[in-house]
Amino acid sequence: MYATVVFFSIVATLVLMGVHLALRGGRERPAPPVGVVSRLIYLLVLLSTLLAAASAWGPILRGQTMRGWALLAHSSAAGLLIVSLTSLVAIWAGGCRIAAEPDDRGRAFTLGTRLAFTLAAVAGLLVILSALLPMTPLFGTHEQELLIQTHRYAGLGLVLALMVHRYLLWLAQRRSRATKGAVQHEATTA
Amino acid sequence: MMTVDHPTYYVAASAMRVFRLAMACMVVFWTASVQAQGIFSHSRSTYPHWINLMDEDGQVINLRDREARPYSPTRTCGRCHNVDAINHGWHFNANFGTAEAGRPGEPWILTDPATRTQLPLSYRKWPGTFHPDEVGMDEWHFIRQFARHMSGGGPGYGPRKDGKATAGTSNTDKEEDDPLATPEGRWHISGYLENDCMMCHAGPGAYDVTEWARQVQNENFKWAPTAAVGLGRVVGDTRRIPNDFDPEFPEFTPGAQLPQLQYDASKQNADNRVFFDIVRKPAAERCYYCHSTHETGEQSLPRWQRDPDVHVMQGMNCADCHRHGIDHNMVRGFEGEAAISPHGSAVAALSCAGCHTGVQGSDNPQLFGGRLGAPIPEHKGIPPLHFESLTCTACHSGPWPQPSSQTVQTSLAHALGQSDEHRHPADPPHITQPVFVRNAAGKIEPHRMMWPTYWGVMTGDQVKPLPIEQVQKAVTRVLRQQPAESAEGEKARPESFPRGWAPVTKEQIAAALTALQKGLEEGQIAVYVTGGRLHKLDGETVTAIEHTAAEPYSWPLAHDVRPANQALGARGCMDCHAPDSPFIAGLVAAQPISPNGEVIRRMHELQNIDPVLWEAWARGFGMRNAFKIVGFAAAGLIGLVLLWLIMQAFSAIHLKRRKPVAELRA
Repeated sequence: MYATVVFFSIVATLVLMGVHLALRGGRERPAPPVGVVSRLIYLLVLLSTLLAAASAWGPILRGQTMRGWALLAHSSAAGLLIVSLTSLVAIWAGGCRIAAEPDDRGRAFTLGTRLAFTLAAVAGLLVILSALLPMTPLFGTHEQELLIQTHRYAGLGLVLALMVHRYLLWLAQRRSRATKGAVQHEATTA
Repeated sequence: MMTVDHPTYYVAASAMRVFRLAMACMVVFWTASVQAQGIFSHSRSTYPHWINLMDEDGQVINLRDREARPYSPTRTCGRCHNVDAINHGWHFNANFGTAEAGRPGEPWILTDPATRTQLPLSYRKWPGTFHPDEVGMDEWHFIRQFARHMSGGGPGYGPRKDGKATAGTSNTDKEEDDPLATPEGRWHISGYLENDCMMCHAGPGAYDVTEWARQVQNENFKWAPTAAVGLGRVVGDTRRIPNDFDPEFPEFTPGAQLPQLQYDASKQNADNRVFFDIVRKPAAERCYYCHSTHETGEQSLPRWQRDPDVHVMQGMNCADCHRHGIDHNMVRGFEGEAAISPHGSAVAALSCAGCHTGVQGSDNPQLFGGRLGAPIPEHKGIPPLHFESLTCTACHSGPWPQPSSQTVQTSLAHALGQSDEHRHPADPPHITQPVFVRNAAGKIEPHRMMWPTYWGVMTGDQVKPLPIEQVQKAVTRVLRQQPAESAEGEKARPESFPRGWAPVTKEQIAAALTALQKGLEEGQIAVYVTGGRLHKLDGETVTAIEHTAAEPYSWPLAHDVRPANQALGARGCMDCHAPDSPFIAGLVAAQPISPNGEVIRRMHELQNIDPVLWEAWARGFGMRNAFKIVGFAAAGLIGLVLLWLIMQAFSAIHLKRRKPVAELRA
């Protein structure tokens, strides 16, 4: 069941992004500049999420339980994800407020990007809590199984939110580069 | 008056013959149907067993008769109970070719200190064990060796021809028997060792297992049930009677005499019947005779400090879980048994998980969990992955694991239950526990383990044990003549070691292998398997190599069960996940030790766990608390940021609503 949900939700997200790109690509507001540290942290979030997802879904899609090296890789990725995601949320939260104003050049994260960011933060919070709470002596087997299901679907949500976020950010950055190129072209022409 | 020549006489006589024939048929039919189905009282109360004793030919025994023969449990109990079905039960069917092998269990261990042999035997062909035939052990020798802890039946009914016992449960089986056709056995003298129902079903104190063992040792197989249940006294033994003795014509063998039986006539009532104190469900103490263990390791607790099984302490008996019907196919209680049992969910409900947690979604109310008031475990803080990787017994059964596995003695292997003034903690065979290994389903479970030690022959890469008699002739003298070195480094005679099991030296192995090689064909190499290695001659020196034939044999242990507060993990994850946890890093030493050096394995090797992975996990668990602290701090921070974002969103919406009003006012 879960493997099917994972497969179709990712395919559906990719299809929707493709449709969006075809219909509305290029109309986004340019993205605000992102510093080197923020870029690095964002990269770490993406890498750790990719590693965690691959180590979890690899065995699951093969009908196996995650254990051994896969579980070790997943746990290692989890540590990196917790630190990098928290840092990212703390640094980018200001720019991703609903009420965040564009800068003097009119650059701001789009509403879609902000929503995707917020969803990624919510999913990330659920992923972290559903991973940590089973380590406490509070929950029995039934609750643990519920927490595992929560962890799985929150993890899927995190992946999907980051995919959408990255896609929208890419569109906005492409727009920024295009705008910057146009300005430079106008300046050169002038 | 009617005379023989009167026509009416012939009519009446014919009618009488027909009537007698009909009556005889009815009796035969009734007996057969009773044997096939049994007679039942269907009451929870125990039926008072005032019954007639019957001998092996089905004749009623009068205890006052000086010539009375020993009673036959098969005939006596078989009048009302389906002994054919019972004889196919788990405890008795091992040597039936058609019997299921079942999950590997404790083998019979052929222990011969004189040749330093400890060899796991089983008729069930469990991987790692040897069929008794392979070491030249027929049914008669098997019974003589091991029946001290068997209730008879199975091999006790003699050699099997075409899958059927020579003797059995019906008269026809007996008539086909030709004792002289089996010259190796002495069944015609000792009699058959029938399945003795009373060994398990006798009331408290009504059965003397030591008397049973004594009669088996004396080769008085036929007399053993009578003596053990205290119906009479047996004087004499059949051991010294020559093989060619014919019980029908004892006068042809001067000096030979079968054992004399003196029944206790006071046990018989006026109706010629005897009271059998019978319990339907045997007490745990009865099972303990064959299923006891005695921990003898350096770190094992003295007897008074050990805790019994938690279930027994709660008032349960072995038979409360290990149940069976008239077929006597015991529920063994392991996970997955239901899949191979014809009784399906009824068997599943008698396993640890079936009784305690039940099976989700089952329609069988016995599988709802908490059966008979069993506590439903919460397993708080234990990720469910553990239940996919470990059996219940891994955490709850056997002694608490120590840095090294500990030696243990068992009833079957060490004749526990028999009084013996020479008992020693180091008595062979050498068995160690708990050893955590993977079972057939891939789960880790605690086992008892032994390392086979035997003299064998290698052909190509195949190793087979040599017949024990052949080994005894070639090896015993070699091992006895040369002094062995004791643990203190002193030269000592083998007799100074427990049961004479002195450590063998390379020189002794070389001499013994040379002696054995003389009797082998070309292409065959004499070898000695011991201490986890295979030893063979390389010129005049002994070399030791690793070989599958030297791999240990292990079988699951499930008792004594420890309660949750004494289970592995009760103190936290580090009970098992610490780098030095005995569960994964414990040492298992091959016993007896090879003279070429000790073979020691770690538990994770036996569990087929990648040592690098295990090391990484062990180090990772050292940072677990820090991980949890950082994780919760991170979750808290993300939560606060999300809260701030929500407040910002509400604030923005509120400002947006108020903006037009302010503009209007302006």
